[in-house]
Amino acid sequence: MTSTSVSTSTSLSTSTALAAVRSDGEVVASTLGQRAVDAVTGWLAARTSRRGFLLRAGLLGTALAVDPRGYVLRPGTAYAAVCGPGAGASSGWTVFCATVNDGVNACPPGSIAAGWWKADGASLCGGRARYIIDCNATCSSCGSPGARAGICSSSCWSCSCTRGLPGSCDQRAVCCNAFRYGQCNQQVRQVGGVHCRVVSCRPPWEFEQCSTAPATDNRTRDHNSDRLPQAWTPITKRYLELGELGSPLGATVHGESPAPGGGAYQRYQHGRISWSAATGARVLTGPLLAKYLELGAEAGALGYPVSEEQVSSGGPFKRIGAVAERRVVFQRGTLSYAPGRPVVVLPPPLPAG
Amino acid sequence: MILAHGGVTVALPDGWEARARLQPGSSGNLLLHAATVPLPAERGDFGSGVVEVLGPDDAFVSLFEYDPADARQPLFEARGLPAVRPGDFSPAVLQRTGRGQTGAQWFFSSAGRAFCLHVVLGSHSRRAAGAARVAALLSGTAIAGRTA
Repeated sequence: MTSTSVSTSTSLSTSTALAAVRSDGEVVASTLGQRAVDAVTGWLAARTSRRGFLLRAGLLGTALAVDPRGYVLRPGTAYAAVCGPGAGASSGWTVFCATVNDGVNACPPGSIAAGWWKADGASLCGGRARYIIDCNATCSSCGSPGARAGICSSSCWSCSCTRGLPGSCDQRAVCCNAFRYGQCNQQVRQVGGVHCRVVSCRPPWEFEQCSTAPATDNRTRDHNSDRLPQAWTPITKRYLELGELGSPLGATVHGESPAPGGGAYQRYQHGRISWSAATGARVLTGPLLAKYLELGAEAGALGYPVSEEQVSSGGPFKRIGAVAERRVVFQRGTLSYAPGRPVVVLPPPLPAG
Repeated sequence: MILAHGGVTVALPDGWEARARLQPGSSGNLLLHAATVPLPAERGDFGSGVVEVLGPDDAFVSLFEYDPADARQPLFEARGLPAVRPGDFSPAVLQRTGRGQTGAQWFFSSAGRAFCLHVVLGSHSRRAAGAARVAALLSGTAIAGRTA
């Protein structure tokens, strides 16, 4: 029993009206009559059902016994397809930006972040909240966008209503829903419809002009795209540590890809993270990344990176002229770079002794 | 039946259920839901979990409050609860479109507080009656300053 008190004008059993304060602080009032009683008793039953508890406990136990690592990393795998629930064209939900933006998990040109919500306890974020940010169209070149703040007339939108990319399982709506969550870019009186959605495991006010007013919709927790990362992995964990969409790496470009020896890599707008069990998740950017790709990346002679980019500051590296040397150590060599000079490939150090 | 919470008071007409809470993780932002159907315990702030069970003559209302500083932004330039009219509704003004439903959305400020009012009606073709029911609900709704 979770209701702590009932401040009532009538009682539950005889109610044509009732009011209550629940233990979670929600205040409930109803003039629905018997429908309300059914709702309250149903709500209580859902929380006190021995059978329901046993079912949930059994499911958890089975998942842990069959595939403990997989369950911890991505418990949703067994229950949802790659794009998650509500991915069809008739679902009424909005598509992910990665699906319609060349795999890039960012607002496409011509759209701006207009609001966000979170889904708590998301396996795709390692059990943290997963944030979904609506990218709304702008109200471009229109003489009469409408007077009311919020959404402009659809004739002014910078995109038009269609469905997801052919060949993707994310067939959700593109630029069809005239809805604004409202926490982002509030200085913009009017925006167009929701072009697409960006996902993040970090709160949007860290990287967009958004307020912190929380909105929640846990039913969207497992919505996803085949152009987005599919699981909580060492790479996504490292990306989160770096600041995710607010990091110098920028947005993900498609999902993770397998690499030799059971490793993986993830592309970003401005870099890459390579991972193997032996070397961990390492970040590569700029000229050193370009050279690494030229040399065959994880499948090439250098193998996986074993360090991240290090900058000389009188420490272990030499200064090259007046500029700092940057280098990354790999399993079978080192890449070294200084601005204005080509990237140099250094052989691995000789074994000691 | 009167529901009062977080500085918002609603006199419920017959045939409504309302639930209100201060949003966890906020500085006391109010979320008020009202519907002509029983409200499930688990529901999205803008109605997912509720709108799926609306019949053609049913209505759902979400009064969502933003952070106090947001009230100074142009998005919230309108003052006071809106007057709801059938012409305000469109099948596109929904978080999730389809099922013949229709919606409307207003941003406004009142008593120094920033709000969005989102209304979903079960049928676009019957929106006149639905809008009247919502108007009756809002006529008994008052917003005061934030409570301590």
